Amino acid sequence: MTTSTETGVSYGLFNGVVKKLKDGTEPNSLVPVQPVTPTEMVAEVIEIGNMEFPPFTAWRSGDLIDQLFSDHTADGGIYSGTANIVIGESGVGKSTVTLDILAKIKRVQPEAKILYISSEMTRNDLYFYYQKTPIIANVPTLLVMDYVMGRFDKILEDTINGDYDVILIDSHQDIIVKLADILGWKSTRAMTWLTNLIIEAADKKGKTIFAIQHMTKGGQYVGSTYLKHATTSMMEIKFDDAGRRYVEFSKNRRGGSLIGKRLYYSLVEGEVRWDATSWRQETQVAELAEQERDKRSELESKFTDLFMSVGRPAEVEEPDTDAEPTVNQ
Amino acid sequence: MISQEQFDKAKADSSGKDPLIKKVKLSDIKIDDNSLKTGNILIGDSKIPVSNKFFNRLGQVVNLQTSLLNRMDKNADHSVQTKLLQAVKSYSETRDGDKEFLLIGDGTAREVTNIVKADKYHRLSNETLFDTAGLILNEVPDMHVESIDNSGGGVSINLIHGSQVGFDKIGKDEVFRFGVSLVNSATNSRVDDFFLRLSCANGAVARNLNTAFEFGQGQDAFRKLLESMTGWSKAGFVPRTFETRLEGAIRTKASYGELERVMNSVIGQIHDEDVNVESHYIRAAQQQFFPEFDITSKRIFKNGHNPQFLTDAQKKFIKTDSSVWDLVNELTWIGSHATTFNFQAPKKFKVEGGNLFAKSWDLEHASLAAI
Repeated sequence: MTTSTETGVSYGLFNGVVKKLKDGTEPNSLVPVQPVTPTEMVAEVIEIGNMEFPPFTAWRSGDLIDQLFSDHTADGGIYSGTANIVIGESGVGKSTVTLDILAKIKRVQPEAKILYISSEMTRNDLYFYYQKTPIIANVPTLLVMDYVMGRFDKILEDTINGDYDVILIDSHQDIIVKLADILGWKSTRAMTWLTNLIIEAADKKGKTIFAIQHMTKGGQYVGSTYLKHATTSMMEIKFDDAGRRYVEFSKNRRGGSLIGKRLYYSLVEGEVRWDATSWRQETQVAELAEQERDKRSELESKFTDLFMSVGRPAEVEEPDTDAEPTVNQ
Repeated sequence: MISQEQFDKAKADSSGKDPLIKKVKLSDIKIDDNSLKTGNILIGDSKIPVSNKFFNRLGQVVNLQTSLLNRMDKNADHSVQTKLLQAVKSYSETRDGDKEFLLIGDGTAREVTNIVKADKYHRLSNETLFDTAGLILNEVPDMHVESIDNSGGGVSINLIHGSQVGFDKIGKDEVFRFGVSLVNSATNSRVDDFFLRLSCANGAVARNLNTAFEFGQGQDAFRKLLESMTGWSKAGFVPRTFETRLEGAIRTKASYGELERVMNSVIGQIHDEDVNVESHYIRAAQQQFFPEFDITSKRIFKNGHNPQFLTDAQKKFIKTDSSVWDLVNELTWIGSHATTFNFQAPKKFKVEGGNLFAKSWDLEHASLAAI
């Protein structure tokens, strides 16, 4: 990252997106961002095959949802080094689903260091939530509300960069609001700071991050385009027309073939139960849709071959121009 | 019922027999002064043969009255016809320049037969239609292939549920099995209702009785179909209004107009190279299937009218001895069984029978005239 000391503007490269950051010299900035020491940068171009990559872990919950996270192996799973946005309308079950995933990852892979960062729920809220969903008992949790009287941005930074493998942030938007309201940051700066923190933790430190984001009542994503572009995946939790809940990915850099596939679920005895029947049907439906796309392309190619190939005009026999023209109903 | 082997064979026979398509913008299509005469259009450097109906279809997509085109055609005003088509097409290009259209070609006839708005073309390939039927058979318990119709163009796969539903208070013969018909027409794929009267194994296909499902684009279309299937299967595929319609069809007399239309539809499919043999067949079919037509015609004569001079509106008021249900049964029987008449497209009768059952009938409310 470089900073121009004259303008107080710094530039960061995050997942291919260059982002311009102002330092905290604006009058309304109560807590300034520490300027980054300028460093000399030299471009290094490396063949992809010669690059060094960290070891990747696929965290698995042992449930069907693993198959929706990635398509690199048959077992799927959510990869380390990914930043995943979770969106959905209020009440659809964003926290419930993601907490359930975290708890089950811990159950299947006890070595996984999981963390829930709760910004919206207080300790008391969590008590009643836990009563309904006892599976979350084993989920280590940071309550942001416990730190809002101080520099909770430092707490967040230290925790997210700390010794955790899978982190759930609930919610991205609420933390931005708190940074703006309590620390006096501009919303855009708060958003960029948090997004960069998430992207850096995923990309440089190999963490798996789920960040819950809100939607408008009309079902529109409310976060920034930067967040949308810089993250690995966008997981959407929705109601269908019949009121059933499902998860689908609208973006997934670890599972492009899984985009648009729905995985239905319901809550049974405080746990998320993924619907295996509808998942099987969804797979068949996706295959049919793909087959039909291929067929259409084939029919278009045949049209071109038959009617538009080179030399075609010469092959067409000209009808007798003296004959009666034929335009009928 | 159709066996797996028969199903696979029908699938193999139908696969690859789909209309060819090409996405174009209106401005891609060039019509020169000889296009109508020679039956060609130009796309880029390629001269493409088109059917005689193509220019009417092109006229329709640019909102040109086809009756006007036909009138010009009839009066041999071809240069005016061409100029008009060119001018209206050019105007549409300025207004709808970005819209995409599909040229639809017949690979066998080697000509382009139709043009439609690209977003209105929702036809699955025949292979996908069969695979969709396979998916339904796997996912909906006790579903079977009753028949496959592929005569007269298009494909219909009639799937039927195993449960039998009787309507004893209407008659002991009125026992049915219900299902759906997956239909591939010229420009769309849809799901119609299908029902089978067990006593005579008459199958009928009706639109908009229960299902009213048309395929859209992409994955969502198949997903919605499966969701709907689950809903319909819970009710055994019995349309909610079926019993009421059945009671009404049995109770309501068919009008002379309805009887005549049904009869003409049937005899219209009888053809023979020998004109005398053809007329013999037609008379035989009239007597075998529609004896009431002759009886009613005589009654009309007896009352001082010539049936040949009655208007369609007048024919709607004349009662026959057939009920609507009789006509539905006659049509669906002919559509479901082999006859000596060698009909060209018997499946059409299943559809016509089903549609007659589902529509409003001429004398449905005739009893109100007595009030």
